[in-house]
Amino acid sequence: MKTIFILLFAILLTGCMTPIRPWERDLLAQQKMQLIPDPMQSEVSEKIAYSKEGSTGGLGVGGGGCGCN
Amino acid sequence: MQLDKKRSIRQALALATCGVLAHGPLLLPVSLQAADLSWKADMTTLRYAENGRVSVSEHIASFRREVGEDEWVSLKFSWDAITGASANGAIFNPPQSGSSQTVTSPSGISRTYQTGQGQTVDPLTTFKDTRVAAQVSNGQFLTPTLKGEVVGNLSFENDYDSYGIGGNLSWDILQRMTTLTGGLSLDLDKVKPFDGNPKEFESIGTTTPIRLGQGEKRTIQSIIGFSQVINRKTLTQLNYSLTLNDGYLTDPYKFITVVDPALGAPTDYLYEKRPTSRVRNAIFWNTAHHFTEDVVHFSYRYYWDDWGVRSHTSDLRYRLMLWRGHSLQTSFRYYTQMAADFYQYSLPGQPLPSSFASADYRLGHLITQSTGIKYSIHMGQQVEFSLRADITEQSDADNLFPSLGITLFQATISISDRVDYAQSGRAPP
Repeated sequence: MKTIFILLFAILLTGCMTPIRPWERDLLAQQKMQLIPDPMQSEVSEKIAYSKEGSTGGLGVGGGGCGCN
Repeated sequence: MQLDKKRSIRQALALATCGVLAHGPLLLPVSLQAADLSWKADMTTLRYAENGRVSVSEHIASFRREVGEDEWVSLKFSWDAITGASANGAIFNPPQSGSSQTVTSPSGISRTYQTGQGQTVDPLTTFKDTRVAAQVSNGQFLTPTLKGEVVGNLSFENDYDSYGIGGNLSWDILQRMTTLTGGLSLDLDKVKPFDGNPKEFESIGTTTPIRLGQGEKRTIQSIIGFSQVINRKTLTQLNYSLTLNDGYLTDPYKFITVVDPALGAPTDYLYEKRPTSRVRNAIFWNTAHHFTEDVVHFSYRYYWDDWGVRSHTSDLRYRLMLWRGHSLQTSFRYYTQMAADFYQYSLPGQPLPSSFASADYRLGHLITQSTGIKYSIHMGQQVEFSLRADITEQSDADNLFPSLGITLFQATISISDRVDYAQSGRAPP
């Protein structure tokens, strides 16, 4: 599963990449195009998932613990 | 004539020099002037409600400001009020042959329950708690392409404290087409129920309960990853995170029911027991694509740990730009989880398990589906306001625990001194 996942990602990277000049970054620079476009929404969603499910991780580190039930 | 011209030039230079010295700030780099140090404030308030169970009101305020050239600080405060009832692991729908006892925790009331044939315990524990948390961070560009940030966290509840520090680095390479990231954090948590942590596998009905004092839990989180610009409209990211938990990982409020195999009725309720360490792994893939106006985000995470929990999480968000700064975002999240090795809905009676057992449904075979919608509007060019509503259904794939419905309403306002023309829908001047 993990191998397939990484292979697919590698194919995506090598097959579709196009060099981008600084003046072509207008769309990428927009807030809505950030990988976390709305930190407040993400923080709340992550905390709920952390409280109600048995999994965590992948997005970042830190953020503080809670005894959520 | 020649001398007069030279004198006039000298006088002009002297006047210009005096003028510049008299207006000292003009000599400072532009980025160091207070008016040009950008800032951003975000405030959110939310209401989280489970059907017939927990309700949470939460308010978060964060403020970020540049404090110098390529350096910034941010502060964040959170306040939660939690009330309601939470599943404690006792079985649902036991035979109605005896009296049912309601459990109240965590803070303030120490109780002893009657257990034995015919006695049942309410599978929901009522509680009330308040949480306050603060986070402070300081970041700066160490070189034009290398960014570092340190973060500190504090969190306090009536029965749980958390202290954490961490740091992140990100490094842009290959003409900023690729960004390498890494992070490390350390958290120390204290689990401190009002009447102490219970002895694992002890009956909740014992007349002389043993209390263990407060428990400590240490967490080390690490992450490495990279993000890659695919083309002018597509960005992707791949992360791997490793989390190590160590210490008191048992939940002091969770029970497991002992069921008489012959009668199918509860005979006792024991406090659960979990291992004292956990190694957790996650691979996370996130991609954003711009359709010139609309934007779609898709992410997938595969998670596994040494407790036997495996999970798949998919998240899809589509932001539809409407008109002049109005937008509508729909989201869908799907989560499936395989149970921990020691997860058991109930125990068959004597002998007691020699290792670990928990009936916490969050370690069981879970399916969670969430659907959400968010409406955003720009009020002026520097203020964005959004309203979000999410509906979540959490179900047990084994159909032993009842499904849980969750609704979430969240209102957020963001204020910045920078104009985001792309969001506001107005052309730059």
